[in-house]
Amino acid sequence: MTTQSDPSARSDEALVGAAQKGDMVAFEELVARHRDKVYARAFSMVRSEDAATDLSQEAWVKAWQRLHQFQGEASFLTWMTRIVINLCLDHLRKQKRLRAESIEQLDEELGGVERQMPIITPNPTERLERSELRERIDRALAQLSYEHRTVLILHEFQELEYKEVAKRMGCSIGTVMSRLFYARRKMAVLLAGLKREGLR
Amino acid sequence: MTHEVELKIQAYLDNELAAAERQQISELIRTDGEAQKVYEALAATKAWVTDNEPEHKLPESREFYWSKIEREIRQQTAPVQATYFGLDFGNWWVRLATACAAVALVGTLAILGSRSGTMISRSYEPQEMELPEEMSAITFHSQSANMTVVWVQARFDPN
Repeated sequence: MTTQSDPSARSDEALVGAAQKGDMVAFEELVARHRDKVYARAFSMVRSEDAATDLSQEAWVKAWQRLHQFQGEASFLTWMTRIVINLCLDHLRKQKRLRAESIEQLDEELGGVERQMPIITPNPTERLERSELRERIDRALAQLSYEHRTVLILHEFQELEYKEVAKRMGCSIGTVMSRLFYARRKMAVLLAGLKREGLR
Repeated sequence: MTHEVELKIQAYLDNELAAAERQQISELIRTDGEAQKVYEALAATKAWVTDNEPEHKLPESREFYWSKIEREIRQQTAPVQATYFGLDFGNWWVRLATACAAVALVGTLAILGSRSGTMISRSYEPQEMELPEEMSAITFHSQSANMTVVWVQARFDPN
């Protein structure tokens, strides 16, 4: 099937409409337009290039299959990001089931290590290039546990409310609040450049 | 300060408190130095993180990435969109009607076969027939009646 005009010049809405009618050229343009953002969300959650590539690819296939369900309440990118997040959560849950729960992990989830940390306020006046700041945040995110990183991503980047985060992660709102608190505290320590032995 | 209060300060920052409690925590942050410190630390971290979301580029070319997606889509959607004899088998009732027609045809052949003795069996050699995925078949052969009945039916899948 062909598009009537240059697909790169068309809006997301027009491309989605065409793709819903089976136009794969329009869908390819949507993939090209948003592939980095969808991949970035997957990578920020799973921290593996291969897994993030596979999961983002799977998300696009799922999106094609469910395109008729997209009603346009949110933007297409928001809808796509939801799909990839759900796939990442499933992937991480499977991984978690595979590895043995250690006392250390359970302790961290409840804020065991972070509970002992001092209250650190990252210094916003510190002059850093934006790219350097992003890299530092990325490195800090990589050092968080899966639970802390996920709650932070869903709340700060995906802008989900506590109850929505709880629903996605399959835990209580209280657990979300606690995880978010300790995730932020740990991020503050890492961003301030305080590397403590034993922090992951 | 208790952990519960710390969480309430955070909920205040995230705009997750009800109006009455919001007023209460606002007052606490204004009057209590420790509460203020907790609030400022949380607010600064939140601002740093949200304003600087890391960016990652897909480590594959557009063409290669799309080719994998396209292949997967075509593999997964091909059976659903398949048509036989110009009919769309995506609707279960079309499949059912087709199966009924097939059954009627087989039944007619079986009756003709039994009435005309060996004529049909001489005229027609047994043939293998490949059925579409939406259909299945059960075969019964009676030596005494010199008859073979083939029951063709649609696999019921309302989706």
